[in-house]
Amino acid sequence: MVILPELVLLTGALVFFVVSLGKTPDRNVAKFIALFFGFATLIAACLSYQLQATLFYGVYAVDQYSQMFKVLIGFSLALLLVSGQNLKGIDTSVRSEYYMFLLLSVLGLMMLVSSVEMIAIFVSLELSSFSLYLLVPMRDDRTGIRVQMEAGIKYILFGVMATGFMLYGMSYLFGLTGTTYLKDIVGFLSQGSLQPAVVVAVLMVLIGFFYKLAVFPMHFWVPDIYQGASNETTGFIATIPKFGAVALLIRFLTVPTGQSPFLIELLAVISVCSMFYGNLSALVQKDIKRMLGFSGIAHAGFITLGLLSMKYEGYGLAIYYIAGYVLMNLACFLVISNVSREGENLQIDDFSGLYQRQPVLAFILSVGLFGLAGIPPFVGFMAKFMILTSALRTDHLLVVCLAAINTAIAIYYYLSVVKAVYTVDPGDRPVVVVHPLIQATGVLLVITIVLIGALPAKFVDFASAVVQAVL
Amino acid sequence: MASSFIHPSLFLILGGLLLPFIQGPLRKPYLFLVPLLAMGAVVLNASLSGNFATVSFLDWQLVFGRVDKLSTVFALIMGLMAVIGTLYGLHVDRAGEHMAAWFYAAGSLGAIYSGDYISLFLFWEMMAFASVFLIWFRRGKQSLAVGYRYLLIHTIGGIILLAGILLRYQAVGNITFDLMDVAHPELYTWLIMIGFGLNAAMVPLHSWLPEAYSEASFNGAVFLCAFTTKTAVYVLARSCAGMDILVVLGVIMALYGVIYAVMENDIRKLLAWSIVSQVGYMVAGIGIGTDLAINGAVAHAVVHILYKSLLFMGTGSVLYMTGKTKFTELGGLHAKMPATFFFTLIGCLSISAAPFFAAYVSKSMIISAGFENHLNWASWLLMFGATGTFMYNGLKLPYFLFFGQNNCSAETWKKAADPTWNMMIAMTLGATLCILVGTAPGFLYAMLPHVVDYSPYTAYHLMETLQLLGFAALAFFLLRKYVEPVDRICLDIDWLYRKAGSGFLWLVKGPLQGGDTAWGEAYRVVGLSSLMTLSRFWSWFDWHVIDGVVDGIARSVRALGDKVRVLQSGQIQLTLYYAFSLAAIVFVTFIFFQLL
Amino acid sequence: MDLLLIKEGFPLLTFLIFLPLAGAVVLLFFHGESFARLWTLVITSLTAVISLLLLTGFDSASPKYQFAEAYDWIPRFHINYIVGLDGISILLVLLTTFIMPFCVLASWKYIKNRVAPFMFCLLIMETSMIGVFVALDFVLFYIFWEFMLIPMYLLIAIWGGPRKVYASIKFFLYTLAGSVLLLVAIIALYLKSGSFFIPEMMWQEYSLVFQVLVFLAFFLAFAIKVPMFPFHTWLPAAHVEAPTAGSVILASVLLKMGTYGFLRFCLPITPDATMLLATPILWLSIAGIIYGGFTALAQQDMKKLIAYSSVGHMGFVTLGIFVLNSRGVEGAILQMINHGVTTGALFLCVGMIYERTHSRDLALASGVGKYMPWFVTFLAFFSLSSFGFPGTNSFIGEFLVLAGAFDHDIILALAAIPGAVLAAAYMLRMLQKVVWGGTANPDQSYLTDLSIREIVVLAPFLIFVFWIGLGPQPFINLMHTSVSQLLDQLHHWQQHHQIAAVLWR
Repeated sequence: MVILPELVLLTGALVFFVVSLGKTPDRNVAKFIALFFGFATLIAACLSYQLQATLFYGVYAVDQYSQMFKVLIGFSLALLLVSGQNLKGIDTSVRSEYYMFLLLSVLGLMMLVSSVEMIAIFVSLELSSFSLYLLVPMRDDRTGIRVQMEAGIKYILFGVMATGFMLYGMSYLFGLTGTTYLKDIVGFLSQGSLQPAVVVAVLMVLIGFFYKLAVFPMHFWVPDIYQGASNETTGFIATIPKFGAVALLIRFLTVPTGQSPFLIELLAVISVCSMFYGNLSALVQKDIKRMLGFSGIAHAGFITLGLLSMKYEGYGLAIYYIAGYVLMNLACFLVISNVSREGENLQIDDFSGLYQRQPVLAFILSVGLFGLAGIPPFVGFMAKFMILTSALRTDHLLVVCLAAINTAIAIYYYLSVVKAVYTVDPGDRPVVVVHPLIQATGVLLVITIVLIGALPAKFVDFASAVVQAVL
Repeated sequence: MASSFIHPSLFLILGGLLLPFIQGPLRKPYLFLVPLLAMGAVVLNASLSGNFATVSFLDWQLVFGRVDKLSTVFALIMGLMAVIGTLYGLHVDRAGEHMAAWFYAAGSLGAIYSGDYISLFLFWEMMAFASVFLIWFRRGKQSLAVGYRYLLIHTIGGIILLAGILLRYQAVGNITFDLMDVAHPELYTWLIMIGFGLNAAMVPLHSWLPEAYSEASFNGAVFLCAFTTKTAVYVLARSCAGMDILVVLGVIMALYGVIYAVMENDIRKLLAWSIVSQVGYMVAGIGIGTDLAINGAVAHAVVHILYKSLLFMGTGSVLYMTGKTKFTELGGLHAKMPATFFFTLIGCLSISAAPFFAAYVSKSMIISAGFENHLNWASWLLMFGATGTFMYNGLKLPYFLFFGQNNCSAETWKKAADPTWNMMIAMTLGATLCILVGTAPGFLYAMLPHVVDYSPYTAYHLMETLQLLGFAALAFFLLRKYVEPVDRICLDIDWLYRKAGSGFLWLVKGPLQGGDTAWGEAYRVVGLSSLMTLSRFWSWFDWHVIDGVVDGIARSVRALGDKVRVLQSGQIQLTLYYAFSLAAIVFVTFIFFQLL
Repeated sequence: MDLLLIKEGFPLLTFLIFLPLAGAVVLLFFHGESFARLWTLVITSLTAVISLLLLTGFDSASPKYQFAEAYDWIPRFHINYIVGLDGISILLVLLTTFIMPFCVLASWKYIKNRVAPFMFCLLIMETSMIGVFVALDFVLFYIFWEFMLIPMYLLIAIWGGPRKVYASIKFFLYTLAGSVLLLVAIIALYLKSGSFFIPEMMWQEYSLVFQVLVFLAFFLAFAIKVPMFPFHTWLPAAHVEAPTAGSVILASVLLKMGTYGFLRFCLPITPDATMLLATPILWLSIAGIIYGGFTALAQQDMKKLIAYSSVGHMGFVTLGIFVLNSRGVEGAILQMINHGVTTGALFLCVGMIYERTHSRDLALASGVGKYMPWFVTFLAFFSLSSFGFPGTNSFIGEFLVLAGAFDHDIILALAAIPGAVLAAAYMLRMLQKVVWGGTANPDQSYLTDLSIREIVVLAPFLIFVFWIGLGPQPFINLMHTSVSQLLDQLHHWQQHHQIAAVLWR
């Protein structure tokens, strides 16, 4: 039962497979099955939380670290399914397939966080990625310009390139150490003298995860994909896969590269670049998903900043940060996918007067945005604050100052949305009706955002402790 | 003892605050009662001496009741003026105006009784701000502007005074208000002196006075003419006695005022100018600083308040009845307003120091004090000024106002008549006092701060005065046709004054007039317009430059974002190209740096 | 922690902080307009009344932080929940708690739509403002400091005037941009001193360069909040567009946070840098005083006029703080309170005119004195107080500040004098226009004089104007111990570290 959540997801995927064989079911059926499996996964993850084991000849480690991530993933999945339950952007005929690939992708991620061997890592990563690639074009083609196809293609091509780099790096590591088990690699490298080759190899592997995390310069896919995919899909892309990326990044960074200043400085530069790139180009966006995409790039930069300290504390903080980031993004996408009527893309103007049209959603959205902007007391601030602290502790004054300045830049575009929501007159835009369950979910999100933001102590301690214990 | 000190300002202030609630028939008695109470308080205080009502404030001792002969005599006359002035304006039914007047009087009394600089400053400002309402209450476009200017100038004076006080506190370490070491003046001595002097309308800080007083409401002027300048005289006498510069300034003021009074066409402006000149005598007296001189200054202040208010009441009546204040629009009124004429005449005689009239007993004190101190030049000039005073005030004013050619338009003539009973009573009171003081100066002398052995009624003094007056009168009546079309002046009189006279003529026609008009302009133009222009510039600067910079930064950041966005072209091959080339660049550069 | 006077039993400060928050939460569920008004009034007044307990319990003889409460919060980063009150902050807290009910009353009719959310924002504001003044942990402080931007932004952006969008975004961006480096400075201090507990950061041996850098970061944040010339540009925009209550809060409380920051952080944490940089800051204050005066004189919009006058008045405050002697600092603190009372009242007055004429233009408001005698009486007193008329509160404040300035440097003090004249000039200009107007006043016969509610709102301000003006001693006593202790330490420090400001002589 140690891999209960994975099994649940797998069954879920199979069920949807079976469903998809028959004639298209009523939309509600698919919805309820999906919701059921979503919560089932969460429960399963919680149940298997304490368990520990090593399976499949040690390639698959079920430990606190992985279980923590699984809980997080399960939680976010459940929330995502609830908030995106209407799947406005997806044609009814393909919904079961959609859910199948969605669950498969999550499954891939869950396996990813547990894998401790390079092949396994590669396999699970591809599993999640490819099912994700398929989700993008499933958007029903209302506009007729088939933008989602273009997005899907871009996503695949870009992804393939990144994967190629990663494989190349892995092969290097294998060549250097003669093993594909991470801990053996660690053991091997920690005794032997370090060659630059190791650094290069690690870097190449990192590129793969940078791609998933959308860190500069592997971020170029983000805006187009975010825009091209349906709102719900984007909501997924923007949130859950990041967990896997962070988890693996941390696993890899603990590979002793002598913590070469080279790597650290590189990370610093990368993080600063992605912050500036993301924030600056987000300033001028009209499409909200595109804007969130760019903001995502900036936040990825912050996460790298957390990894920068190369300390367990830093890793813990990175986890804290990504958790907070996912929560806030979920809140935003919950609003987006419910404000858009038939799953069309939303310009920022479309939120005009949302305050009158649907106060609760307006509240949720503004909390999410202020959180992303890093205004206390929301989680965004605490995470940012702690990351800056740890980064400054390792004497990256310049980087910290630049990051601080970035917060000031970022506030502008978040604010422009809040402005539209609260101050602009709705005009003839209709009232938004939302299922109370969704509202409740949103409020729940808000509460978590505030709580984790106000009382981060437990979470951070725990995360750091876990990282320390496992790696 | 301290209990028996009653601060007269309290009555006036409280009375003023209650006034709006006293309506209808009660109003008039109330109006009459309050200043009487204040007056009573002053009289009671007169029996005391010493410091009373000391309050500790922060780490200072405020003295609200410093009673000695100097303060007592001023307090008495001020209290009296409050009564007369209120009586004169009794029929005015604008509560605000009476409140302003009372606060004004309260400020003056407070300043007189205060024994330290802080409370002095408090009352000082109170005077300035209360008095401006007396001007504003005339409600003309002109008087609004003038009032604003008046107030600004007094604020500046107050601030200078404050700076002086602070500096003095810095240097001396206390705030007690008494005679400064005028022998060795410091910066603060000058600042304080200037602050006081501005209220005393010292040339060249005088321009506020004529324009303001001529714009005041008819009963407001009665208050104005009494309090501000005389309080200033009091504080100067208190703090700057014996400061030599004051002699010069005083003499200048005395003559300066005369010249412009002679040339003036507006009756109230004429009186205003004459205030400047009369105050000049007092300032000069203070500057001389001997007991006799101080006595003279004080005595002159007292009597001056009496006759000046009388004169302002007379002209005020004319204004009130006819609405006109220009010689060129008046004349020959003796038929229509005999009583007014009578009282005004008394006032005129008093101001021109005719024997048995008020100024006779005081002005001469100052002059002779000057001779005693061998400041002959000063005394001669002052005496000369006295003659001028008689010219314009003793003769010109009554003549052209009540006799002379009748320039009244028809309705002016119809409107002209003796004013209401309360104004008459007030004027009677003033006139009686003028004569009383002039004939029996004893009780006045008794009140003076220093013991005096001075009797004005010596044969020599009488002769001298009559002689001067005679000449002046002669000259006037010979030459009145030249004086008549007003605004031209002719002083081409007999052997005594020929030289000086011609010099005068030149002076007046030439630099002085230009100078003063320029100075007056300066207040108007430099004072306000330039201030406004400057401030407009700064606000423009604020909007365009500072805001421009800040918003500009924001905009440029946004524009930068716009540039960056270009990288994000939709084409996959381009993005891939960018991505990996950027990655390559980053790595290569870093490896490069590592190797170096 | 011997600096703290731990409050046993009832956690007063925490209660004060969170009572308004609780009230706000209630408003989330009940939206009734009249209920919202009443409820908020009750909550704010309750807070005000309870805050009086601070006065009774406060021991003005001890320089310690009183009513202190300390709980662990994020031990990993040594972040604790510590609140406390000393002579410097107590008056500001009281000012805050007492201003709020009047803001509610002032918005009684002014706010017609979305009443509940408006009151919600007000309550949130109160929580964060009180929090800023009592926080003794730097992170706690920063959280309140930043969080305040949100409700204030909404107040301006939703209920503001025509250019509300521009004004609100400018306000938010500018103040936030100012305080991001503050965050970095806080972290840097933490890494040096090993704790976020503010008193433990004070009087540490930091290197001069470090101090200067930290000081500059502080300065940017606080100078923008004050606002000091030339960082004041957000103020006029925000003031003009904000609703009355918003303007009052801005003027009375928000601006004080900047000066409070100077006193609480700059002086004790970076003493060397303070002494080093005091002189230029003093001259900046002078520039602000004069500049504010000039710009105010040119304004046609009454709110803008008062806004710029605030720049001048706050210039006096910074002047008093950085002359670094007890007169100056006490005067400065008193002047903060005065400015809060007077300017708040003036904004209320303008708001009352605005409710009637729907314009803040001096030209349109000229001559209302004829129809609104009560109103102009109040206005007259407040304007007198505003330019420091003797006997009113501001006179005491400015007098002390000037006295301190004369102690410090005569030229400096003399340079400040013209500012006072200008203050008189613009205030009188406004007063004269409003009371008398020109010859051609617009017809205002339709105007009604103040209602009882409005008089009730204004009267307490007037009382304070004269109370502080005539009997400032009790107020001074409250702050005296803390101030003198602060300055003693500063001068003691100065004797030991002779890097005094020779640089500027």
